Amino acid sequence: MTLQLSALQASLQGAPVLHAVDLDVKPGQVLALLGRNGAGKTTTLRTIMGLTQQTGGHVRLDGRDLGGAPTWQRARIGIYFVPEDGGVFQELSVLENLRLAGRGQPEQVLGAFPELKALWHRRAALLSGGERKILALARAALSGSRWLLIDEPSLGLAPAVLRRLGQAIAALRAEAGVLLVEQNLRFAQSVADDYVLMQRGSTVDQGPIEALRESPFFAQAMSFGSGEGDSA
Amino acid sequence: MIANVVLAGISLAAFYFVLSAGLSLVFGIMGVLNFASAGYFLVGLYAAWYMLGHGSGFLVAALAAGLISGVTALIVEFVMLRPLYRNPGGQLLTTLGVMLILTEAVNWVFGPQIQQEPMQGLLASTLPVGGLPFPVYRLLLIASGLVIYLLLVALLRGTSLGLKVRAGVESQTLAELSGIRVLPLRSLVYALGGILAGFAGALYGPFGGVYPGAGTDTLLLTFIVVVIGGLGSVGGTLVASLIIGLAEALVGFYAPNLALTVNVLAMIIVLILRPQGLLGRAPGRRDTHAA
Ligand SMILES: Nc1ncnc2c1ncn2[C@@H]1O[C@H](COP(=O)(O)OP(=O)(O)OP(=O)(O)O)[C@@H](O)[C@H]1O
Ligand SMILES: [Mg+2]
Repeated sequence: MTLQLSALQASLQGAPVLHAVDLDVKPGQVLALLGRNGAGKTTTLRTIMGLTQQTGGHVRLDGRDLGGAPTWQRARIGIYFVPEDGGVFQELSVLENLRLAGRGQPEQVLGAFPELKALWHRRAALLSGGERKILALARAALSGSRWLLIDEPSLGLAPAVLRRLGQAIAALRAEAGVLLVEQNLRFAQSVADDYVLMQRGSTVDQGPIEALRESPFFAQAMSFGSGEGDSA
Repeated sequence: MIANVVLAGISLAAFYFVLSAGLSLVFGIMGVLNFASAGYFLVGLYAAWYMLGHGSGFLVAALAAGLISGVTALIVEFVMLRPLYRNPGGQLLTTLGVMLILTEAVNWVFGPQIQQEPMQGLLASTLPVGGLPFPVYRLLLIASGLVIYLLLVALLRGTSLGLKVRAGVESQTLAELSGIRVLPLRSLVYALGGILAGFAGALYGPFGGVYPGAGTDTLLLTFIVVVIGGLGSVGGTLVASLIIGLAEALVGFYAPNLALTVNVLAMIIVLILRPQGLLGRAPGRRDTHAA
């Protein structure tokens, strides 16, 4: 049981953006996908969902190639994507957003996300950024998906909310494997088990998250130290 | 007397609402201004006229007209629009073509002359309102508009299918990411648009006349209603219909030559003050997740 990307390639409007992406996510694992701005992290997640034109390689679920499966089918077989802005329906209420997410009863999420109770009938457009992210994760939990792709959840959140988010993600891993794109290294280190480093459209290194800073690609891929080396 | 004029305005509003609601929903989910709606309107108009002339009751004829137009729309969606999925420009031109073809077809089969809609019994009678006779038929218009508004709200707000439609109207990509198949929803909404246009056609016959140009004659006003109301918003369409219907009746009564001018002016004022329409969503928020 694995979500497996091998030699994945993808293009945006005809321009190759992903060249060779290789990674495996296992159930119960939180895998941090790291890399500097423009490395291709978001594109990787979107390609897994069938939202970006895949031009080569494979996305496999339990060994089965997803081929050209449409987005709705990928969602139904258990891959859930939380985009950077949360991807909730702004015009719909919190309750309606939860209803659309999944198989389970919306009330089920109140155990893990009690703060949603007070927001139950509020239109999502009116939620604060943090509330919207909580809603997004509650939707992910309710979807019953076995694979969660989460794009930069920490973006723009206060430390206290970030802690809640960390707990929420930790709760999600009980049911699913998580591929987590993060810029906030401390946050990534607090929730992830392993890392994959990406650089200019390719994965270049991976390992347990504790060993991240020892990676020979760390400074370059995260554009710390002499970031200029990247353009050479 | 003023009560009579206002009631006439409300009955016009009810008609505009039935005609525009489908157009607004179709735009919401497909992003296309559906010119073909004028063609489905015409199909409904003639279907109802034909059935009335062959002994059918008015409500049966109107419902059948809606059904025939709905089936026509479904076929058009399936055969002509679906292959152009993801090509809104092509879809727009196709709907324009369908409108022209249906108009020409009706012209060819039934001729260009204005047909007399045979109305009898209660629907042909009048009631005194504000000292003037008021056609009972116009009360039926008001009732139809109200029933259709309530049905649409019940469908969109009260069923899980309606929830999926609203999700698809907001963002096709987000809907698919939630596991919703948007393509069949589009067909469904398009067919619903056809049904509403056909039903509106049947309602139009008794007060507007039965002639091939009826579809295109009413098209401009429905566009005005949909734009003022906010594309994709049923509530907005209702409010805009009331504004346009009442304006047309009142201005038509006091200054008959200015009726259309006032409506176009109303649209321009709304577009300047609220470009997204009265109850529409702010533009630019549409489908930020699209590929
Ligand atoms: N139409 C396009 N043609 C060519 N390149 C594009 C196009 N659109 C985006 N790109 C490039 O694709 C690359 C990958 O973008 P992506 O959004 O996946 O990066 P990311 O790793 O998520 O970055 P960030 O951390 O800033 O979110 C970027 O360098 C971007 O400039
Ligand atoms: Mg990104």
